Amino acid sequence: MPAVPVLIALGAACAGAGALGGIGGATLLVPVLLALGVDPFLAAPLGMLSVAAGSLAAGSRQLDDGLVHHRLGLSVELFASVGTVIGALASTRVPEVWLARVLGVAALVGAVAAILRKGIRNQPVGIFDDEPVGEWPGTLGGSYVLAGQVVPYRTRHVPLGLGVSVVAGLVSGLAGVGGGFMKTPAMSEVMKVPVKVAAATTTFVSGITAATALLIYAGQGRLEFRAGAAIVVGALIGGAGGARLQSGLDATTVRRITGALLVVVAAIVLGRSL
Amino acid sequence: MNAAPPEPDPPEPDGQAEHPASGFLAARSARYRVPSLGLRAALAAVAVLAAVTVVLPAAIGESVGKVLVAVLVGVPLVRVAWFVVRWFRRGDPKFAMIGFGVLCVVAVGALLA
Repeated sequence: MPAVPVLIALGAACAGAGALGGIGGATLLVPVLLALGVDPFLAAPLGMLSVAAGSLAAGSRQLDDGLVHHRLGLSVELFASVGTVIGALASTRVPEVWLARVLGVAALVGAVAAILRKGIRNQPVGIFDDEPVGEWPGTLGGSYVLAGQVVPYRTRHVPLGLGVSVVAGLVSGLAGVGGGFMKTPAMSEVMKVPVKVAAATTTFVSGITAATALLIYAGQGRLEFRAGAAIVVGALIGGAGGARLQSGLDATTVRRITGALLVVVAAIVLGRSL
Repeated sequence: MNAAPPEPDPPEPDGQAEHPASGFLAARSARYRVPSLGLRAALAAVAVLAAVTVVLPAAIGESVGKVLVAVLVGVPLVRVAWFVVRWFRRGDPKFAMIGFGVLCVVAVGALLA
């Protein structure tokens, strides 16, 4: 296991890049830990601690901004958490080489998602300016504020989106990544929810995914508390820094850089596991 | 008879008109004041606990680290429970049941581990 200062720096760098690129820090962190020679059985819980810290750090601000669709998030998470439980329970029986391969492929999928993510789909509709902003009770629709204008949206292709969520949960439980790189595209590209709402909702549900997996990892005796705390310190610092930088940088460029980083990481992890 | 010139419109704050959505955002923020404050408090607690775990000697630090993980695990579950209760009370049982289902899956996972 790397020294505490190295873990803090890694946690900060990965959380910062993850926040900038909108793909989550653990997607970068866990493959990097593997590349540094950390056992996958210990790296996955560290990744989940990073996810939990990131979700908590963003929670209050996203709640105030009205971006999180809790009903959609919990609907997605009901299916994803089943996958997470199965993945986390199975992870002790899957050979290390295969765990590393799952992580490598997950990093590649994250890279593709980061590079291909699209911009704004839903447009402001003036007649909604007098309607309440946020999720609409009893439905999977809602509205949010974009550049001072109200943008309504509704969710489509729900069964397909929920199916992708099960797979995302399975990968999360197996590999210790938040699964945001799959859940956000599932919501935005499959379920046609605005990217900002999808990303905020994913951050919310990733906290639940992390809680589920951490409970299971704790039961399996896989938590390294000191190393985990170092990662949490780094994740809080890096997440805050990344969120501040995000507003001043071109998000598309940063996402592409992050995607390129993930390709490199995936190549290293997959190369070591072959 | 000369008519009095019309009064000029009063200046908007900072020279910009306030958008109707800003009022709804403020109302929403007030509606979620309790969970928002709770999340801020939990974040502060996590930051302190994580720093203490790193700084203290391993034996004591590990105990604090367990509390840190407990907070990180507990906060999202309490947040879900808050919404389940809220939706049941406000007549949205379908999504309240979905939230309850999520909590059940988490509990089953913890028991199986």
